[in-house]
Amino acid sequence: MEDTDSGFDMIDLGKLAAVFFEECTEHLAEMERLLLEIDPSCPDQEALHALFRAAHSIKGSGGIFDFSDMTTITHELESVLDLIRNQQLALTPEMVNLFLQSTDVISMQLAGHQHGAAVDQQANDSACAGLRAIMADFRTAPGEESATPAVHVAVPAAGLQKFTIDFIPSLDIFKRGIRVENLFGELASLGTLSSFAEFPEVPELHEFDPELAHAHWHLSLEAEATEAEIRDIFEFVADDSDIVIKVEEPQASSAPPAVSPGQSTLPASHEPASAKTNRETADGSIRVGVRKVDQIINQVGELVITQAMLSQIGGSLDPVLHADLYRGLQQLARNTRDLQESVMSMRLVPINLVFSRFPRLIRDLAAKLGKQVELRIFGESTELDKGLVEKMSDPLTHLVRNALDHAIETPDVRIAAGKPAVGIVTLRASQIGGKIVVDVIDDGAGLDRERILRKAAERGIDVNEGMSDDEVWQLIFTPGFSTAEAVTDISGRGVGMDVVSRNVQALGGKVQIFSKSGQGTRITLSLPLTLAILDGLAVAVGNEKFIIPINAIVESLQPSAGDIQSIQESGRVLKMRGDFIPLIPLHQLFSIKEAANRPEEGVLVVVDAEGERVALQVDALVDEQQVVIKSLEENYRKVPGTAGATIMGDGRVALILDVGEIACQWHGRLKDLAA
Amino acid sequence: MSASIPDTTRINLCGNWSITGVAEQLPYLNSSMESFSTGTPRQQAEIHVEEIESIDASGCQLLAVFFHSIRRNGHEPKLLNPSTILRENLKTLGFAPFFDSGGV
Repeated sequence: MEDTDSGFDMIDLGKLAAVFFEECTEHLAEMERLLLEIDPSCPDQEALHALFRAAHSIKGSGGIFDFSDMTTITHELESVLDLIRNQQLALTPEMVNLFLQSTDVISMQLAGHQHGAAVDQQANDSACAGLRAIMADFRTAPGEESATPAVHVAVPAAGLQKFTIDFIPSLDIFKRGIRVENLFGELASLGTLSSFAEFPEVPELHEFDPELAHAHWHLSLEAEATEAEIRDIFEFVADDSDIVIKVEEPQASSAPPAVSPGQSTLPASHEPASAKTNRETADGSIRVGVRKVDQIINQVGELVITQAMLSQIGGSLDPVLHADLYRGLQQLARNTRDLQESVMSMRLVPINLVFSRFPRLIRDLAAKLGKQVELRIFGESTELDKGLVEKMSDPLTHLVRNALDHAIETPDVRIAAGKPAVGIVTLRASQIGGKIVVDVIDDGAGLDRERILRKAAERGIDVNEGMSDDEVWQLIFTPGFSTAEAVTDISGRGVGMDVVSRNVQALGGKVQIFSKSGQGTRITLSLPLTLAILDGLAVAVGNEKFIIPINAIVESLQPSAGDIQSIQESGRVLKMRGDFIPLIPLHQLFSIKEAANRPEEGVLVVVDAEGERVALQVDALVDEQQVVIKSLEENYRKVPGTAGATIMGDGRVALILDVGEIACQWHGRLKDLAA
Repeated sequence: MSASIPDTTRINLCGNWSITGVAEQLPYLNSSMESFSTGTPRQQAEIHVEEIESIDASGCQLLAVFFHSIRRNGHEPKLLNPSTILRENLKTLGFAPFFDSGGV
């Protein structure tokens, strides 16, 4: 057989699979969210429809890839959800648990297909058995209809009806990986199906493109089904306009038919609101791979460097003689900045992508620990870099697990301490300046200073009673440190806080702890907003240039000799409006010769070093510019006091300062000198 | 006047007739059509399909168009040795009547 590509490259199953995995993950996350929010005693009808749709689309897409394990369990799940959404079966808390268990199994199967991860067959069997048992109970229940009589009056009839369905698919339906035979198989599972394919115009064989759907179908279905159920089968594979459903003749119906015989059915307004919204949202967005976005960001980064280079060259020319060039360069600078902002926003995603996993985690953990915990989430729409969101997931999970296991007390202990039985864990995200701040707050017992000191001493750490609370809290970041009396599968192995600290530091952030005995603990993670580009002030120190992040700068000044004083333990300080601000000469810190030695010969840049103000002594302010952050660790090695490097307009490398680290470094140096 | 017995041409179809392979079947079908061009004496075409490994709606559609093209040129195609899966797919997808004598 001839080997031709014949346009076949349009079908890329690998790409289709990637989209499937992504969409399936989203459906599962949505199902979990809905299940956690649903009130079994009074379930929201729209939430039930949304649950059904999610299960249905997982089943449909899974079928395309022949993931029979996924289609089996989702079919069972879908069947039960269908009964519930049609109010033929009442939802119970046990069912919600079973549905959550089922979504876990589907997630596991998905990971199995995607990454080859192991699948717990026992969990799968247990979930399927549970779902089948519900169906079996429903079928054998003698009075299941009379259990919800009022509802049946309101629900459209599901008696035996004859539907005619005209299905005119879009030309590319085969290319989209949709198996029409599977669709018809699903229809056939509702009742008796007969189908007839026809060609509005039979094409000539030599002109025929066999990958396009030229056929139309006329179907006849006799089933105890609703029109919505039929449409559900075509959901995600065909537009409403591709299908015309008519109810031909109602038969043996116990309730009035949903539509009169022959009536053209389901106008667009009958569509569930959320389905409509989802479609509208989908229409307004496209999926683009992260790699492609990163590629654009890198290219824009290079453009920013080129623009800075041109600005620098332009700066050396006479502005009067080259007025047009100046205007052009200014316009280029504005356009580059706009482009950079637009591109960076493509990588920003809401932190809710991480927060959304915690309701389930807390629900399950609280039940396991016999505690009552309420989760409060604030600022879930705060946006941050996608890369950061992914890397925040593990640290936050550790913190939340710790809060439940160690901090929140059991209800009896809380009541005895005069607290409400239900503990509160709060996740709060906010953007403060150029930082994203995430707080994990609990109203539990607070950190036990004495126990931490005792455990630290047992581990041979040099501690004393005179240590400040902050110093004591820092001990819990020591690798392997744990105050837990017992190691559980939740925490207590002493790996959590160490991992949290290391992960957050690796992202250029830091962790702070605030705790009060008996009242609770707040752990604050502060992280950079983005990992790629920052607004910086270029400063000169000797022959070197440094970049100070703009968001850290409070003000700059040229001091007079009288503004500078010496304090024994703090070294030289800048006296400013009654405050004494530590003065850090950058040339000393980075061992740069030929720099201005005395502060009054240079410029002081006052910066906010993570809560503390310090004045950085530089020779001169050069320029404010956007810089593309390049990792020093990847290209050279970590340089203390820096957050990376950038390429300047003249092609030279400038270090980007980490002002918080510089302040710590300076204080450490003074401490060493004093010792 | 007695009707003459038509000659028989045998065509063997094989391989992948699903969307991932259906385009590859087209050149062979087009070359087969040369035997059934208009003006050639009326023939019976035996279309042997036992070696078709897989088939979906796109394959059924192509097969139907092939049959129609043969008939349009005045010849009579006959589907021979379809597997159970092929028969079921043709039935489920509503293409079965195309392979009866009735035509498209």
